[in-house]
Amino acid sequence: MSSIRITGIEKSFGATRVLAGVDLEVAHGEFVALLGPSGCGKSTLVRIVAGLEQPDRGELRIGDRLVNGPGVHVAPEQRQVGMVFQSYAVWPHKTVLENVRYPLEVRGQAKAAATAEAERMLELVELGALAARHPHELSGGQQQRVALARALVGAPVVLLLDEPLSNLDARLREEMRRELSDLRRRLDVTVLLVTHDQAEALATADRVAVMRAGSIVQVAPPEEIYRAPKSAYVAATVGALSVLAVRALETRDGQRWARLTDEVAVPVEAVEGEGPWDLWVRPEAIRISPEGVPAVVDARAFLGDRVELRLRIGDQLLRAWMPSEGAPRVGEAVSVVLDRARVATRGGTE
Amino acid sequence: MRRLFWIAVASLAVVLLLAFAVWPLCLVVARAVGLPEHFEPSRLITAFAAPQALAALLNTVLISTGVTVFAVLLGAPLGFVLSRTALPGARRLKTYLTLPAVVPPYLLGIAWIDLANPRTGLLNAAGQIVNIYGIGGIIWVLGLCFYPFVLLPVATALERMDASLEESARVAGAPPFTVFRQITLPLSLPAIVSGAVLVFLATAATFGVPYLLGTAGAVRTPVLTTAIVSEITVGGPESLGRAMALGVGLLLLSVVVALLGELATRAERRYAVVSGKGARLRPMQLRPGTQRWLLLVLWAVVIVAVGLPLLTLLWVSLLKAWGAGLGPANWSFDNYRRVLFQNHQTLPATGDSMVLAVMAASIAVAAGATIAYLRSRRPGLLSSGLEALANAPYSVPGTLLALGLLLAWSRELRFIFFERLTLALDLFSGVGALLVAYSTKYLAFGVRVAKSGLVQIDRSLEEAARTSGASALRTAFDVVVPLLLPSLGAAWLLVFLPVLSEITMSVLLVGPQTPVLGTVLFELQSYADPPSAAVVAVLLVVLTLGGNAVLRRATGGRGGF
Repeated sequence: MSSIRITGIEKSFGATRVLAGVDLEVAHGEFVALLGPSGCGKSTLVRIVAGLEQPDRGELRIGDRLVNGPGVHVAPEQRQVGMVFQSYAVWPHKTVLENVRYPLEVRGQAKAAATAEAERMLELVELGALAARHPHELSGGQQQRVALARALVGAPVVLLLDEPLSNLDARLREEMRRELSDLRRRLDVTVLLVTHDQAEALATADRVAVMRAGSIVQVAPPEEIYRAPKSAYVAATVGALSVLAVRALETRDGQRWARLTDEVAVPVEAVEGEGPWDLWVRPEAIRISPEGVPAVVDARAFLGDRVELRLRIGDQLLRAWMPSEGAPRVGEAVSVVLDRARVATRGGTE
Repeated sequence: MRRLFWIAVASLAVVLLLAFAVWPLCLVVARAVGLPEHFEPSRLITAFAAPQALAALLNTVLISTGVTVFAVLLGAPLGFVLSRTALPGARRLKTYLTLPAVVPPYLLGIAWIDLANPRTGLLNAAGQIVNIYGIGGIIWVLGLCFYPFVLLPVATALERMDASLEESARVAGAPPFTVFRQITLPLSLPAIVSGAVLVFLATAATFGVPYLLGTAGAVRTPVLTTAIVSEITVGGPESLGRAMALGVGLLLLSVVVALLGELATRAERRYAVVSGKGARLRPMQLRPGTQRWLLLVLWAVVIVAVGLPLLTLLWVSLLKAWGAGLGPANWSFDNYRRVLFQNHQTLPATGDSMVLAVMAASIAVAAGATIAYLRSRRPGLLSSGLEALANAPYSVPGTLLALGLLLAWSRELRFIFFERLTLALDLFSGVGALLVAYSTKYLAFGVRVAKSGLVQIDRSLEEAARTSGASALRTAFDVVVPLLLPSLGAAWLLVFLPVLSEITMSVLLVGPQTPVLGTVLFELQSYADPPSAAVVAVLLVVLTLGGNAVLRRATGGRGGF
């Protein structure tokens, strides 16, 4: 049984179409990340799941209950979901404990039982000692954990996370990401996460749904979506990508070659669709090797754990990441091999 | 050298403010407790044992409380509706609903006298129905004037509130009304309280409306401000003593209420509920029936608070003869001709008021901008002290400030106080006194507006001028002043408009030979020439509304109301 079933959801704000028919199913206990740039509709989609927005068309089920459909709109307070907001939205006039206890209290649970349950949840997020504090006495990361505890305390069917980590600094974000994965394993809850951070999506989710202009363009497990993106857009959304124009495809000795310039052709792993074609290469899949093709180092940036190079092959540019030791200098001529290079119809097939 | 220049400027400002604000106020307080001869704080208690003083104090407390309750009950729901519901024309409605904050209250008071005085009021044409004189009338008129002071902060707070604070409560399982009661209302409480305190202080300090509605009519309703003025008018050392005691009473009342307000929201003040990255809540969609009903109520408030009184003033100003019928047959511009071209009082008074307002606005803005500049660019004890000094006079009731200036600087009333300290200056004949009082009182506007303008000028713009070789003074004139000009223009109008129609201080400081617009208007109204008073009132309304429109346009709706 799936926990969330979204069918043909459409939503416009005035003349702006924000969601153009979205379908998505999230299985019970699954963690799905909605990934895309700002304005792609991913936040609107979770807000519709929460009941904070009403879709114009389409159906939405949470568990086996129809919560949005023709003539049906279940109010947010009756959906049994938990939500963590980007701004945390921890109520400043309530203590940490009061914040976390609120969902139980407002649903009519006795105060003693609600307090016990809230305290248990605060222990879980390691904030037991701060129960009596007010939110302004807490750090951003701690407020975030209060918001998480509050979202989980009512034992929701679905946990919605709307860019929960984007207000945290890099170190805290990594810590929270780990904590999120741990918690979820322990709590057996279905999670829908909205993020624009590819690393966050790839590291935490069971499946990643990449969104573009109000539609989901591809849903797949992290490794699959990284290795086999359906389009250059998806490929560039889940990681760094160089796109080179392919002049022609050739077949020699049973191997397909992509011709990049008059002098240079590279062997390719896969070819999809019709021409015109592009060659997609990930920066980490480029290595220096004598059996490669000639390239010139155009620019070089030292990034600590690696070096980012801008390589020129003929009149085409591509990004490459290499170990910093022994990396070539600017102006140096090198021979490079492009691993796992894929040729796809220009723009890709979405 | 340059440092010395700024220190000299700041010191001069401090000296002037000490002389024209601090010293006069200290003098009132000191004399009221019997200094310098003896120190007897019990004098204050004795003073308020007198039935008249006690009545004035109780009336002030009663009226201020009543107006505050009225303004909160009217302003807070209006603020909520305007900021949270998708009403058609909500922006325009908000502009109309905040107009009472622009028009001087006593003009609306005059309109309500024309409307609802027991003998000839237009509403009483069919027999006596309402009587505007007395406590109820004063509360009614001032409540309708001051509710925007609650409406505006509540609307702003609600607009800025992070929407997810309420959404998370919905998701947590709370139905809409519970969210309103447990989240929205507590979070907007600081805005409501600060608006309420503002209304209370403004009411306690106001002179015009309680004078118009509380000193005429069958029942007299003295309040502290009107009682002070009548004591001063009587003259004599006994009366002056009583006036000072009343003034200190007013000061203490204001301080206590301001402190109570501070105390009540102290817990809430520690956190600011402003939206960080959270989105604004989309306005509530209403059912058509509810919407119609709500619009009806809002427009009714606009009509009662703004439309009815302003149209009444216009109407009365056109009447050829009071009591000779209200139709067009009895309309003419004779009153305007008489008041504008023939009256020997209104003409010079208008001129004087204009000149005074221009001068006071220019002084307040120039000095205010200098103080704000020193405060933000040369922080230190001197400049922060200076800013506090500059803001203080505005928060002191005008009656008290005027009383202090009289005691300290007028030849007739100057008290010998530590004899050696008493200077033999006599600035205080009419126009000079008014100019000092106006500039001092409204200096705070110049400082505040310039300060908020300065915050928006990035330091690097000035630093670029300095690294280009300009001195600090040169930079101030070449970079800061031009960028600040729109703010300064707004500040100028913000001072000009209230000074033009000022009455509270004018009534104490004006000389018999040099009336100003406000005092002339009161004279016309008191000597039973309502049509002429209405003419002056209409002109003042047109000026203030026009000025406010200019202000709104110039600042893109941020300034003005």
